[in-house]
Amino acid sequence: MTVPFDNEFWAVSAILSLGAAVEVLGPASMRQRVADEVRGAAAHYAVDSQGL
Amino acid sequence: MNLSEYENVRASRMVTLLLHLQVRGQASGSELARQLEVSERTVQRDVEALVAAGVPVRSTRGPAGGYRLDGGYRTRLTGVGLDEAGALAFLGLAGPAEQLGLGDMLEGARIKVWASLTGEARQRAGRTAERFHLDPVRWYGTPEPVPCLTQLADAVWRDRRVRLEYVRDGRAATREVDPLGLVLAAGDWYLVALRDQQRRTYRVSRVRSVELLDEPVVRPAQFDLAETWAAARRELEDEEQTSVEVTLRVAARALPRLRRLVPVHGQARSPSRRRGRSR
Repeated sequence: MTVPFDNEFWAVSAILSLGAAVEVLGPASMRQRVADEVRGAAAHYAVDSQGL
Repeated sequence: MNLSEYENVRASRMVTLLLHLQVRGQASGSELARQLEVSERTVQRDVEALVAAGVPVRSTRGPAGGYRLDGGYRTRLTGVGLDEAGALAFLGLAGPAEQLGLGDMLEGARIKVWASLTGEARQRAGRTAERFHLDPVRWYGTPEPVPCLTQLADAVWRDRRVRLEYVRDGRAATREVDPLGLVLAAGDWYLVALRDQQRRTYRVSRVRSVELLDEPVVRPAQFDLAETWAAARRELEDEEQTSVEVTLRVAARALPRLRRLVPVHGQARSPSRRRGRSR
């Protein structure tokens, strides 16, 4: 589905709040931006996942 | 405005102009015009009047030109008015000053300024402090840790280039930048710097280490930190204000929540690639 957002900041915030239940298919720049945020967040917990 | 009011406004403006030159050392006609909210021609007339009154204001032409006070001239016109005394409480950003290592100095300055006030002005300042309090840190959570803030402040004071280790999007990067200033915005500190002559802003909480280098920072002529920050902020907000249509694959369980977040009208659903998902 295609969803209109008033601005990119709000779009990223809303999408992130839905967690794994949502995947951005396009535009590519928005997909990249969300991916960067998720990767950044995951990096905080990388040590935990290694069981250290 | 009658003649008396006009003269009062003009006198007040000329004192402000004089104090501005005393604090800044030098300012261009356009800067003064902007500060005083008058035309450059009016600034020129005010300067002429000050010179006629014996104040040694010198003007120089050219791109780096402007007005300055000659021979270290200092005015004693520093009496604080009642309304100004009332505004003194808003200097009370003790928390950020403490973070910068300036806590004791700010407190010392505050005591001296308050001690210099007359009885009524001191009362006005006290009334403001009792009625207004500034807490620039946003709700929820403590301020971000900024272990490198004092090192960056030191580099800013000394006008020295730094090598930063900076983490963004989970990736570390090393940057050599010329620090120009630090800005506290909505509880977060930002470094405004030049990198390859391009203005950059760095969130201080993301700086992992700072190495002070020997290269001096050459500050751009007429650099104004507040204006630079305002421009950076406008650019970011303009960028963020661009409306966008996003194509999503959404799990069915998340649709009600998505509808609460944004108006989703008449969306076309394509066959889902995975069970329970709409695209």
